[in-house]
Amino acid sequence: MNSPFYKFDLFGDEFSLIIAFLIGIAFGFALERGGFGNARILAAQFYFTKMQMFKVMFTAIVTAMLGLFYLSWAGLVDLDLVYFGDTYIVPQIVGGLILGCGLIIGGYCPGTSIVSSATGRIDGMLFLAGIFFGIFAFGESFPLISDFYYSTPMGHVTLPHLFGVSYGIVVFVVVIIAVGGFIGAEWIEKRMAERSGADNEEVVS
Amino acid sequence: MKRLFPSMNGQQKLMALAIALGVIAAFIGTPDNHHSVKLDMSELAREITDGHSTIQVKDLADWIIKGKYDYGLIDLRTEKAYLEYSIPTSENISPSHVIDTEWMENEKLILYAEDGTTAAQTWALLKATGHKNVYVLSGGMKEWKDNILFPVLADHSSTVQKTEFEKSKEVAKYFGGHAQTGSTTQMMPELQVLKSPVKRKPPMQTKTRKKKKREGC
Repeated sequence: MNSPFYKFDLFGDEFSLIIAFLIGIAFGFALERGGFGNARILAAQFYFTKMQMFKVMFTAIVTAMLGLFYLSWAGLVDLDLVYFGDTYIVPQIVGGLILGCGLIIGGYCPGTSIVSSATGRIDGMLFLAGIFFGIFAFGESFPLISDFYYSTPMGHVTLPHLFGVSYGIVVFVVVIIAVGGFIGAEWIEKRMAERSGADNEEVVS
Repeated sequence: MKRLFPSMNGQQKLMALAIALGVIAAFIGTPDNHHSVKLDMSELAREITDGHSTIQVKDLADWIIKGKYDYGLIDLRTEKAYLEYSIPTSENISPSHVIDTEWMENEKLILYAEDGTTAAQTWALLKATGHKNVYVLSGGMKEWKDNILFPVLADHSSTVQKTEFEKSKEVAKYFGGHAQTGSTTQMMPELQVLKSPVKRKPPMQTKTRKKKKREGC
């Protein structure tokens, strides 16, 4: 077992920055090719006219999840050393709601706003400026909200530990949800397209 | 089934593959990460309470004098501390290397550090990995210095205590220390690099597992 590579001393802090840079390039490329530099495609998710974001995200989740699971099973990855943050359930739900509102209003999430800015879109740049302002405002107001920020801690928790099931069961359930969601998303897109076509016919007639 | 798969488009084939992998994952369960261990807490608690997990310094001194070498004595301190002075027959291995080393089954190990804390922690980790025959030198190096190298006879001691002290004087002399009486005891004398009165036995044949770094992001 020799990965995560960083945790096994295969490279140090300086080289990890280079790797992060290369991964960032690949990630930005993938997002842009997936159309996520365009606010209309992102916001359309929430009007169910284009379910691209949902389908791409779940494809990525399932691919990474199956990859990590089987690499761990093969003894190549130590899952216990893969980093993830602690869970603070209520603040994180509230943060997710705020992010969701921002995504619908602005049409971007933080990563896609950077992609959009990199391709020269003004709205992406303005959204990014808003992010920096938001971070600054958060930092300045943190003493006022720190109690809430650290409330309802659940520690370092994973779904298998939370539900008392094996990793394999969670993998299976997530795959079923993803495949079901994918089929459902395509059905919704078709229905919305039909409805949109029917509405256009009414307008023309 | 034979006709179904070729008739699927690429997206459907990928979905079928993901479902197949998900089903297999459900049967695999949780991948073994080779790091989780099962602890029998009641057995550990019993060993601690009964005192069967410790070796007294006087017993160890006795074994060394008699040339009894059916154990591995491990010094968990830093290399610098080890080179300044160490208990004869000991080997300097850091706690992380002790855990990573594949010891022979049932090899008797005695751990010591400056006091008891590091040795106790390493003892617990070795026990958790399944090593049965591991002990802590009670009191560590501090106890060795106080009771073996520099034993002290209090001013108003009984005859029995004085007789024991005479034995302790000989033991202290054997290991290069010297006994002190209550009236002559001042500060702990500077411990010079002492020559070991016995030859160190050859290093233990062990395999070392590949070390890994545990760090947060």
